[in-house]
Amino acid sequence: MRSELRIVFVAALVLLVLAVGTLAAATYRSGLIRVYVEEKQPGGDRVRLIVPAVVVCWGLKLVPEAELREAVADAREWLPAAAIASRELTRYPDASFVEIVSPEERVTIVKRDGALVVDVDSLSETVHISVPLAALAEVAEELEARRARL
Amino acid sequence: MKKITSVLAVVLLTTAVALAGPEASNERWLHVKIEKSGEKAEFVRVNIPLALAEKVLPAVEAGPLREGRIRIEGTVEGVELRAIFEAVRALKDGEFVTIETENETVRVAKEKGYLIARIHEATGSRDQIDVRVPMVIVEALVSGPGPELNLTAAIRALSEHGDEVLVNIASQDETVRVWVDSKSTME
Repeated sequence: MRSELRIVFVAALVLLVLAVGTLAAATYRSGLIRVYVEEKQPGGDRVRLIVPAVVVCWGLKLVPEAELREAVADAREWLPAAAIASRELTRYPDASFVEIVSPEERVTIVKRDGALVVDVDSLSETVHISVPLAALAEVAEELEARRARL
Repeated sequence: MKKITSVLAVVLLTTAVALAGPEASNERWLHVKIEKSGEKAEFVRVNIPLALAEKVLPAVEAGPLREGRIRIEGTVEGVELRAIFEAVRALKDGEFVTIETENETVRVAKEKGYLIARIHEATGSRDQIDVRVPMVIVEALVSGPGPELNLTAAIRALSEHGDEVLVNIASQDETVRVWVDSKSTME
């Protein structure tokens, strides 16, 4: 009985290690989505979110189509373009695409380490969004496929 | 044997670099730089790979933009833009508009494969506007069959044309520059 328990324990451990390893490998491959928003007024909200991109991609597949219908309808004109742009951007080296600096705000859109990074620093808030381009392409393609089915 | 392998490796590597080189240098970027001085100083810098724009544009379907073409309906202040583009394309080199006054000089011409527009103010803000568009771009724009401008074709023509400064605007408090080259940065 003891040896059976040991076998079950080892098997469970192996499965756990495999699951964690698979998730770690998938996270490493797909990268992390980072969202940071901070309102500058006293008592303002602060949101800090770091999610493995793979979780978003897998999670999107599980969202019921009815829930996505409205979001997909709103973005339908831009979805194919977003899918192509994010896929194509992976071919390019790191670069700064947009930089706007004024007394009120500073906005930058760059490609850095395979991710599209958007930074906004205005008088009222600071926003930082970093999304791996491969994940962005996958999400856009999934939404585009859902749109075609709706 | 080891020496032959090394030489072969060097030859292969050199060939690979030589083959990869021209493609990389052929990648053209459109740059837009706007700088405003004074109390509300600001600047805008945009760098867009033309090949990316060429692929993305046909996928955008918004407003009058469809399949990389923008539909021109009606006229702009009574002027048919497409008719003007087509007329300019058909004309030989020459100066179409020349206005010289105390305050400014305006010149619109077709010259050595370029459509050129220049406005130079002699007084006041001393604005200087120089627009220089290769005719191949104009031809690409009107290459579609209907009342539309073929933006995708124009971008393709621009990327094949080579390095070019398209727009240069300089005034007392603002400068605008639009150009194409093979660098991904503005330096």
